[in-house]
Amino acid sequence: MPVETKPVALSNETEKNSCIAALHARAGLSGPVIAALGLFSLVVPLLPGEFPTIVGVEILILSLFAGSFNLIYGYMGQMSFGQGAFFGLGAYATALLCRWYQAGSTDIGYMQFFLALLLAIPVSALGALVVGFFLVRLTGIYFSILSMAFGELLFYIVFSWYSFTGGDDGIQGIYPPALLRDPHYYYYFTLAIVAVATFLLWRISRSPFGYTLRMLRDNQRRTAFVGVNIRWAMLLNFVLAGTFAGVAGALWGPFQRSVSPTLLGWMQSGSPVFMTLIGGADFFAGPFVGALIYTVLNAYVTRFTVFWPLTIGTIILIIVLFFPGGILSIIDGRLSRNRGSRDS
Amino acid sequence: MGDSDREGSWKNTVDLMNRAVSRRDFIITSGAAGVMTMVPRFARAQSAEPYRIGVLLPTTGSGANYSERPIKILPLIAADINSRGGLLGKHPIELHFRDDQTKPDVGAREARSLILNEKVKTIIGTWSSSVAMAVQEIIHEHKVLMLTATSNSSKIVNENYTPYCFMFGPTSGMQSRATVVAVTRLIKEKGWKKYATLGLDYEWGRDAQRVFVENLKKASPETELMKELWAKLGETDFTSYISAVMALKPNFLFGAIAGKDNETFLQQAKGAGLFKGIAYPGVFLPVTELMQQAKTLPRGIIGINRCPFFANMDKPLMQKYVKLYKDKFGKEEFPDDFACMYADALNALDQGATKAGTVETEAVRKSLTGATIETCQGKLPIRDCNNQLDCPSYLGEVVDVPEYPFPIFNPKTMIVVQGHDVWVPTCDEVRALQKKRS
Repeated sequence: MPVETKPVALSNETEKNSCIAALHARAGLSGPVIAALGLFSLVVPLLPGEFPTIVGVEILILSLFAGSFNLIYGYMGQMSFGQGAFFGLGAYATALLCRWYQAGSTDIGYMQFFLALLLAIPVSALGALVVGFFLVRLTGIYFSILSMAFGELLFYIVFSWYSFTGGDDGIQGIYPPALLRDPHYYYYFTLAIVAVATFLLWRISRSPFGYTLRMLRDNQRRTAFVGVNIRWAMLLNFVLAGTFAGVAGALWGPFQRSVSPTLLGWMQSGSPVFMTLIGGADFFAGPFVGALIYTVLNAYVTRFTVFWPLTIGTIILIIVLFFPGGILSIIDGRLSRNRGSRDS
Repeated sequence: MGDSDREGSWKNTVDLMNRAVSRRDFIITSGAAGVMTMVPRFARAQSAEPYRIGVLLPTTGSGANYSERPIKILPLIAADINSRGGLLGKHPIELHFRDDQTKPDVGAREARSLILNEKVKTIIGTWSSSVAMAVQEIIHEHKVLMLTATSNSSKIVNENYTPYCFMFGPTSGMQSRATVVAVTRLIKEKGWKKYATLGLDYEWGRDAQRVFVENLKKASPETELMKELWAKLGETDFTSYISAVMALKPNFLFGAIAGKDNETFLQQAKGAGLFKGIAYPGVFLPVTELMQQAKTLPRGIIGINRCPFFANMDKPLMQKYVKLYKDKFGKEEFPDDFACMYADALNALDQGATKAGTVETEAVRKSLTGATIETCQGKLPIRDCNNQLDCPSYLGEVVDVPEYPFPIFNPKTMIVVQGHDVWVPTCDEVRALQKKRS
């Protein structure tokens, strides 16, 4: 979704009130949606078969990944095509430490595993800090292109560094401790981490810093004029987004039992873009809804057709052309109409 | 979907397969490949439970080129086995096709989906070694068999070894050592002294180059390596590498380049005149490339491949594969190396089940480990310490022959290097590499 710089022209009280009403309506929609998703996520392991739980883990991890992306896109108004790099950095940080602890076997202790997961936080944050230092000097298309360039740079470093990262082969045998090898336990473990991360994301989005980001998105010049250090705010947000993506990546490796350089590639960076577009970038819950739809389609459409890219592409095309605000904007629009008709 | 609908789908599939092969048809037939082999299930209501096999190969991306013929031949082999009632004469084979998109995480997810949703007992695939190793973790955990051939990193049978995975083609290490055997012979014949290498900068390319250089140093220590050049995967412009090699003027260039990159390099190198003064032994030229580049492939270069039909037309199973393939897809069509290796893999499963007297995974696994099986290259043993088929590599000069509408390796001078001559010499050395799951 192209986020254009929208001049804030609140010329009269009526217009101001309508903006606030719209904002409330949006925040109000995300609340029930997240609550519904949360309740549903509690019962996913009760569904028949193991596969829905496995898809559920994917949805949870990718939801967090997409949510981290939306800090940059939905709130800050910049399109990043390099978010996969931090997802991959988190995944590799955890995988490398797990491998070191495992020492050629597949066994790892709980404390060692949790430490390996925690390592993803500083690694991805540091990566985002270095990349963000250069990125926040640019906006718009230049920001997007440079984010992609940095993403590819990190991809090629991991791809080529055979002695450390395993190169193209990646790293296999990243097993969690015994109990968490059961998909149901790993699901609840992931759910707990994603729930905490989502709560933090929510708090960030509702904090003064979150509103500063919205202000940055709407008008950078005015934001600077009121005394906000734009670059500092953008950098902080970029590091936060990178860190959340890293946490998502950290959960990915032990779930898949392996990591590969494709996790840092541009295709991986594209997935949160699709998810956010599908769900709706203007809503906190948008990326979570998008991740649910995108992952379920990816997991189940391939059972019935080899034309899965066409299927996904068609859905995205329809959404971009006819519902540029995403699925939640349709629901939001309908609710607003109902509310309007009741009021009238 | 009712049975009549499914049978209708199958008829459409057969119709499509009978047509001339186009890219579009390939995608459709590959998508319906699983349906085709389900037919005997409906025809034999009294049969025992079907034996479900997942086929995990890419239909998109660079791997699609080498996956087309395996996807087309597997239903034919399955149908052939099913015509005898299936495995053990009573378990008809069902093939469930999935696109791994050449992405390890997608491969892992699809493997889980095949195991958990389709209840497959065996997975055949993949193309990329990184995908294969990601899938290995899943099949090991779920104790499902994996039969692989195209993805051939040595790690699959060594560092990442699992007893549930069987390799039906020579590994990258075996192929590199086979090239050394052939090149050492040529060094003596032609008095070569200096060489350079050009490899693709990823695992297969690195692995192939490293093994070649290390082994050539042992076999011919006086031969000097002038320079190592690395091109990125998916390179479209090899001009700078070609110029660098021509400036160095080595006696020969060793290339570790495969797929579309290989085709691109060969065309650009041919145009630049590289092959006029510099020999190029050991270029990976599977039958796929010989057929697809029939008009443009430089004659005289020395290629290597894994399972060429033209070198084994005296073997009954190869005759059968070629006949099945030509009957279905036309006189001008031949199975490539990958099709033959995967056909062997499916036939090996049949033989393993017969030997075990059951289709239970553990029993079939044990019966295949260390077994000698009938393949399209003759009777070959499977190494008991890493499940590697003792299969040869083929090196030869690219020449035209009247029998085929594309070049093949010169039958008179072709060098066949046996698998056991070039694999990791002893099982103790293999086991030393297999620490992970020991």
